[in-house]
Amino acid sequence: MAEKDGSTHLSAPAAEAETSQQEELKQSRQSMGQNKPYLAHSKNDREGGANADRSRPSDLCGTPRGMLDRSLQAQLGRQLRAIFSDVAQEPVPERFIKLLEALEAREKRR
Amino acid sequence: MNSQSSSLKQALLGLIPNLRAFAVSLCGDIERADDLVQETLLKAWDHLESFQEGTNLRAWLFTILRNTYFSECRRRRREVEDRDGSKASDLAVHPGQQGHLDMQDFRRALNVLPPDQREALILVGAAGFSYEEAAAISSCAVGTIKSRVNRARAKLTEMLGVATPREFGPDSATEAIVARTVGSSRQS
Repeated sequence: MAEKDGSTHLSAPAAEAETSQQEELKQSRQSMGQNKPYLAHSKNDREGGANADRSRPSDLCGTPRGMLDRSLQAQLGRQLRAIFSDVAQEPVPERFIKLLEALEAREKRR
Repeated sequence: MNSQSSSLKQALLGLIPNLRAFAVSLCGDIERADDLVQETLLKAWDHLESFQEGTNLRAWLFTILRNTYFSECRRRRREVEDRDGSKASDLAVHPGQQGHLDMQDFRRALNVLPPDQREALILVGAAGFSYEEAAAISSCAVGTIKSRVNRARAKLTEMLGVATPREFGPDSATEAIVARTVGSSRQS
């Protein structure tokens, strides 16, 4: 049964860790943005017909595709779990508590 | 009987947060999600005899919820025209906050995925089910779940790949080119 309760892994400490990871990512991206090490290269290289492929990860600034994909995958995984755990941590809304009480009461009358 | 219904009530109460999380991730809308959860609880209560004692109550409830969701989707699809296409172009044309791949982009991309792929990704990637459990919940083959998860990941990467150049700090001019290019290639 312990295994089945996998969702409880996503408890408050995990969410905090997640948030701080995202902060870190944001900061590192900001600092990259200031340096713009890829920019001159990519802009000059990419004028012209290659534009149609700009959104392809493989085409980005000469960064190996695998590396980008992996970091993007990891980020996607974190965001997916965050969406889930955000709601999973909310208290049970009153309407459901009342609903279950009503169902139980109905059962008892039978 | 009373003690049984009381322990069922406790078990259901404990699983409601999980059910809501699943429902929100599936349909992307908290109000619709709570309606799904309510329907799931009612069905579970009324069909308790079909739950096999000793098996996974959480998986059983997830199964009821996703069946409810998908039959609702089928009903809606008959009523309303499928608007996935317009959602997809929204995503490409309005890439959200500058500078990082933000949560809004992700939520929108998730909502654009085909529902069966979204479901597989949530079950395995967020709810913590194994491929085998996810296959049982979605009543399909394990291989089908694996391929849905892979396709979902690939599609998200492709959609959100639009955001990746910004991670490496292009200026707004580069960004405008990317946005224009993506916008026009979507239209053609």
